[in-house]
Amino acid sequence: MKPTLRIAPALAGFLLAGAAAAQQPAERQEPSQEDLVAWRDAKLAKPFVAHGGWIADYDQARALARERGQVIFAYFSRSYAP
Amino acid sequence: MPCEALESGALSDAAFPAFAKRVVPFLHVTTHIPGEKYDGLLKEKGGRGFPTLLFLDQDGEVLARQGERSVAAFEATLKQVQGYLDLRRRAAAGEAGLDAAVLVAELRLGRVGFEDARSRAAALQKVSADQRAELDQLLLDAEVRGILENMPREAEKQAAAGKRLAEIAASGRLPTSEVQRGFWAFLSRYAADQKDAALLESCIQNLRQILPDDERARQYLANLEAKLQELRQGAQG
Repeated sequence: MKPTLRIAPALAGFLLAGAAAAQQPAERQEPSQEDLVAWRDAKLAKPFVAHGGWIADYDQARALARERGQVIFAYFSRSYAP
Repeated sequence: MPCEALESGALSDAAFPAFAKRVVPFLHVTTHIPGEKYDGLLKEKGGRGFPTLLFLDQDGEVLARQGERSVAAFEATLKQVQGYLDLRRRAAAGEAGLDAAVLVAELRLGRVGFEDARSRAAALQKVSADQRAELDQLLLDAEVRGILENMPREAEKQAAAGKRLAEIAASGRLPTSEVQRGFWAFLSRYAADQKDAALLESCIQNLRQILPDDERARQYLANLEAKLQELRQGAQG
């Protein structure tokens, strides 16, 4: 007669929970269009933007640079993630 | 967060608005909103992460990357950029004898890589003693910057890069500017790998002069000192 594998009840519960988790991976929530727009708008409303007179339009920035004979100081940031 | 630190730091500095009047301050926000115009602009400009600060010309060509994040540093780079643009205009207008000055300006702004700069420097006809001395230093900085920025992942190739940096350290001619920290930091790892206690000690001495006096730097140096002790004990044992 083959020996049976005995697993302590607590360990068995842990293993079963792990197996269940492996079968049901957590769903990653993709941000909605509304979220992305809201985050962008929040970024543009931050105090440093008004403080520095930042222009958020690339075409406008280049036109102004040509008109004023100035260089562009560009700050690249993001709003889709922290 | 790096962006937050910049925004609450230099970009909120009381001196920033005066600087901003001397340039066109352009804020680009990567949003991932479908259809957003120019959302991929950072990648197009060769940027690799956030935050990135660049000086651009009127057509959007990258003139310089801004490393240090203070209004004083922004002003210093702006002065270099304006000097370079003036040289470019004068050369385009036919003024002769500007090749050395243009190369120096481009090297200062990081606009030219080491190999290209070395070829151009070798071909220069009229170079003053001061320009030659400055060019030699800038070429060294460009070489070190190039090695550090293009560090391969393979251990063997990293060892080759470390060997070259060790040769530079041994020559007595050392890099300046912002590449110094990376130079000594990478060399310290190379020295530890090569079990070169003398080189590691030299790295620690130089890093001690360069690094800020804060907890993070003190811990980093303490770790290097511990490694140095380990190497010395290993040599004695």
